[in-house]
Amino acid sequence: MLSFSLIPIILTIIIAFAAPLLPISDPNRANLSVRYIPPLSEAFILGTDRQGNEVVHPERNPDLFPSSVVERYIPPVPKHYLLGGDSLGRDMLSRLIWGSRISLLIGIFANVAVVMISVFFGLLAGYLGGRVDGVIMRLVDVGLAFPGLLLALLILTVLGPSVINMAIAVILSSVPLNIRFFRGQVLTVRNAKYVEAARLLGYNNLRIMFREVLPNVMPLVITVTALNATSFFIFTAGFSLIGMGLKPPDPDWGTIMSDGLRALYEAPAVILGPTILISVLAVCFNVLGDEVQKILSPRESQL
Amino acid sequence: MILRSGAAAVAGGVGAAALAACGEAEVVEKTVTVTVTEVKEVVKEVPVETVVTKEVVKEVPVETVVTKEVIKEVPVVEVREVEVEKVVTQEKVVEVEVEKVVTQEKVVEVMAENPKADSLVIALPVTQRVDDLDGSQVYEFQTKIHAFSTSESLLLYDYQTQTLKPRLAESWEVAPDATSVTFTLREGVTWHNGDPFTPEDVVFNFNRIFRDDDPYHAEGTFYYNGFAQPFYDSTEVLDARTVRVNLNKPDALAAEKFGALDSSYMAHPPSVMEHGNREYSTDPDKYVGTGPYIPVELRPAELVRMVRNENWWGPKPDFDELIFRLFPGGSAGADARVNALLAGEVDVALYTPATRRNDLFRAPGIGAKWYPNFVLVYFYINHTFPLFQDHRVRQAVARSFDRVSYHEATSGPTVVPWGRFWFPGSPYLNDSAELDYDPAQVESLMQDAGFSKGGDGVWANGDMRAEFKIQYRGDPGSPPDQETFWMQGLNDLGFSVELEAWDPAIGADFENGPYAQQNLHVGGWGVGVFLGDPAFAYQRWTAGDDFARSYMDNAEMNQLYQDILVEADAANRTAKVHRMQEIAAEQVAWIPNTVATLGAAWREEKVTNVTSGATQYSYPWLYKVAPV
Amino acid sequence: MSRYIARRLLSIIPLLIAVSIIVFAMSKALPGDPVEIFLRQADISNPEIVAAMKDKYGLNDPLPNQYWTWLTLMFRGDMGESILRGEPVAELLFRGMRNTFSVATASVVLVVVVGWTMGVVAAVVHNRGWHQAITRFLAQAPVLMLSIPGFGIAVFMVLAFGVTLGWLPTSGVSNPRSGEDDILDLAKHLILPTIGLALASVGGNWRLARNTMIEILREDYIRMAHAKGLPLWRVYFVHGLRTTLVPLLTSAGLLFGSLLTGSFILEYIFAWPGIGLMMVESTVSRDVPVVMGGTMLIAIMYLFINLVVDILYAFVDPRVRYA
Repeated sequence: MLSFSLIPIILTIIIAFAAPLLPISDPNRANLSVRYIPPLSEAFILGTDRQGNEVVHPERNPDLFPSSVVERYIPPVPKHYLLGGDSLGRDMLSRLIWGSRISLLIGIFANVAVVMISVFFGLLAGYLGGRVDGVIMRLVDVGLAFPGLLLALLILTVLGPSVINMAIAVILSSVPLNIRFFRGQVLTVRNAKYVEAARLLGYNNLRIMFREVLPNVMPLVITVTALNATSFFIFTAGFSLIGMGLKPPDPDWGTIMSDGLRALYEAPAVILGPTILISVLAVCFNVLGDEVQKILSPRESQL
Repeated sequence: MILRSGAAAVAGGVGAAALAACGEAEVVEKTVTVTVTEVKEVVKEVPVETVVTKEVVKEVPVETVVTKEVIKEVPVVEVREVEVEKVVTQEKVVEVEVEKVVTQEKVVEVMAENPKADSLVIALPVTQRVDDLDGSQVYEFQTKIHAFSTSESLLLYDYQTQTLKPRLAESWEVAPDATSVTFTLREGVTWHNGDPFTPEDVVFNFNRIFRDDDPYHAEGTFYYNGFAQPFYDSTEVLDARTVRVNLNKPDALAAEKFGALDSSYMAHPPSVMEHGNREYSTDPDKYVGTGPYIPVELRPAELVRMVRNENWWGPKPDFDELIFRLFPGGSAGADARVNALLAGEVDVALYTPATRRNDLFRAPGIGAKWYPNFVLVYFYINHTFPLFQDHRVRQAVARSFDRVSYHEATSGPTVVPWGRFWFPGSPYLNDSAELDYDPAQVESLMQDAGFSKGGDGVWANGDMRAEFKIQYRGDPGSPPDQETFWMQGLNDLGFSVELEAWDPAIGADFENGPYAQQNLHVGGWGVGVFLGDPAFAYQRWTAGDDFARSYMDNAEMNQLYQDILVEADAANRTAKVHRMQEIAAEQVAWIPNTVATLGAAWREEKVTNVTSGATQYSYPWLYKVAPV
Repeated sequence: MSRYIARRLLSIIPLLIAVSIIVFAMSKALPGDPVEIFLRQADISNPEIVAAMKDKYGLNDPLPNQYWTWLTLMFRGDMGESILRGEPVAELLFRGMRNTFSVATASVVLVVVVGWTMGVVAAVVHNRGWHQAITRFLAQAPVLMLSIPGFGIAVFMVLAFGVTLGWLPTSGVSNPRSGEDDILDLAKHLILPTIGLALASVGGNWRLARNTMIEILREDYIRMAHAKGLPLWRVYFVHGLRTTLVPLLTSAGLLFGSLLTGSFILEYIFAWPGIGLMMVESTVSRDVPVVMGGTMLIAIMYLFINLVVDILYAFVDPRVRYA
């Protein structure tokens, strides 16, 4: 199970990194002749325009083009649109691959940042208790009182839309909930026998927090990270939908989803691509979380 | 939607023209086909009727009259359902025309004989002010549609014929020197509460609408007021049925502006004084108007319910009850409207999206009509930007936009890609002033301007590279496909173009924001051509107005504009407007492009007489315009 | 108990002040001037009108004064007037909140009924060691629900049940032809949005209920109960379920709080005039009074829901009261 869930994740990351090296077309190249072409369709390169760009058409007939567009005709060469085309006839496969770079950045790296920050403060609040706990938790309460999406929207409006700002918005709006969660988990292990023992041995708080408490909440950290990844993907899609996403035409999965949402009834395939990808990755992350939890927590592994 | 608020309002107003123009053309065409097939049958089956026909032939064109008889006597055999509906429509028109020969009263009677009982539910997108009942306070076009059923103006601009028609005023006359306009009011008009409609009411309303210092000045009227307000001086009562509007400078379009302007809607003075503008316009209990329907319920963002005004001065309104169901704007709201129509929850859906056209055309029992919208959405070119100081570069940019390919692929029959400055059918249309896509000419224009392509394939002239940004208005759910496509077209032709999102907030900052003169390159903004009024367009292509971001100023243009205001002769006016367009095409103050689509789709068993989708001008199924 | 409640109520006050300061600061940090945006949209550039409108909305006063005015007015229930819509913010928000409230409540009910039940069933099935396939399915089904974006399902349902089959209304909160505010009519309109909104949460709660219950069924007191020879249903549904309910209750409270924000995507799709859509539109068009009032309202409701959950907690678990 572990490897089954890891393979798609690692594969996605590798493909995302390797996007510039892959033989895929420019994700932003519009070609209206293949607008909303369904997945697995075959189109033909019929020639090149003045700039040497391919001129593609679903049919084999070169006469379909006005001569002003095609500079040099060539015998029709089939070109496969594995995942179809979007509203401007841009290659969906290419857009998904390039889009994964930004989406993974948010879904994985922003996620890691969220979890690291939350675990740190959750440990502080849960383990140290007292005034530290009071201050942190009041701040968390304030943060929680703001609806996550609205807070992120306000942040994006103030800072302006960009990848970094989107990451900041996602981090700031999801950290409070995560701190609260981890604090709760820390509380459950705080008075465990092994923590008591460590205390009696005279270890300092820092060591106990990170060497004794943290490993014991680790399985949950993994699970939560997995859950976060899913919601972050959907979260960013929401922003693109209200025009607060990234700068067009650069794709991310959220932008593609919102493009697809606009064409839902005309070309349902556009939204299916990122949705299936996100769903598959989300399931993988969840399974991964469960598996890691089983490995790390011996009791759980009896399940 | 790229258009919003002001733009949308204006755009809508013009859209109606498009609707009207297109609708008319189609109906005529189909009527002719039907007639030809059925005439023979008439002769066979109802010989008696031919006598009648002969008599009427003198008055009206033959084919239309025959249509009427055919429908009444002979079951239609081969005609599709849609066409049947069209024929019925035509039949009524004929009835009006035929009866008109006899007396005016009879027309009303004929129409009153078969009112369509029960209710009609119309799906509308909501926008900012969703709850206005008073036409003079609405901001946006979509909002106007229900306000137009409750309140009325003095005159009506009919886009189908491009003429003014009487409404609350029976006749009008612009003074020869164009410094005043006199309206003669219709007799027997009453407010919903039974009060008679008087010339004093008109005085109250004109002062309220066109004077900022009036205690009851109606906020929300500014869209169109910009064109009328500067001309307005005073209104005076001449006698029990006549009022005169005095202007402080001549304006040949005074009747259109003050009689049919979308904001010149009459509000009931005692109610406004008692409740204030806001309550008056938002509370059905406090609202008193003159329109064919009386509002009874208003649930903001949800629905507006109206009932028939039995005492309306015109023919009996068709429906017992008129319900406007409000949907969100944007693409999701548009999809929701189409879904509701397909599911039978609403009878008419307005502003249906091009992306659903196939669903609508395929659905049984749904009639869908697509109206090419001659709202020209303009891209402004900032003339003070160094690259654009040469008009040849501006022309090259304008001609790099392959509107035809784009619109054919994306919107199909619903949009006409238009590179001219006026809509077809407009008296001001000038075919020679166009800015169509022409890559070869782009090449030569750039070369003439001293540019040559560098190693990276980008035009350059010394230090100046053909580099600029297209600034677009970011709007919820609408990454700008059109700008993206244009950007690529420009890049293919040797420009180096990027897109820049325009934030509505900082965009309002004209000193430093993206629409500040020093930062603007090419920006899109939706603008319509109101009433075919050259003044409207002129304000958009000259400097000095915040709304026009082209920073264009041209002495000849200014002079022509001053001239057309006092030019009473239609032919001379047209000639002058043509000249203005030629200057615009040469100088490329803005790049015209048709993007928006207005569409109406309806359930056929419910509405038989939809010929257009938008305004009161073309709302014949809600209430008929009184015959002249 | 009443002392505990009073203490908790008092603890909300500093939170509210902190929230209000942040809301105010945020509204000031928003780029652009709301009055100018509004006037620009209305095609007005007259500086006098701009100044007059700024005066009208008190935008020329010093910041602390503006804050104080806003705060005092707000606690008197006056949140000002929407710049964009020209109607009182309180009315506007009440309207949106009412519509969001109905769908949020329905969603929580769905989560409780389906999510919790399935979670408990899954745990019992797991505990009894039933067939592997059933156990697996009950464990993985919620993961799938969590992973599919709700709006995708929503659109599919609109097409299937609304447009094609015509069983359920496609959009809106009521059918104007059906007459007055009919509860049945509203219920019909609620079904599809509720499923779309609650799907992920059903998955989440299913999963949470299952995991918690499995944990609890391993506790010593459950073994004790088994050992005492209590009937199975009593062990599971009295001893086990009662303890399971504690975290579930928190989860439901949090969920309800977050659902009250409204889901603007689903509100878009179903033309549902809720608070989410209103807040997004107001933020995008910088209708600052609505953004401020709405954020405060949502924050206050969230804090109070948390409070109620805490108090319920105290009832269920006496230890909390003395902590």
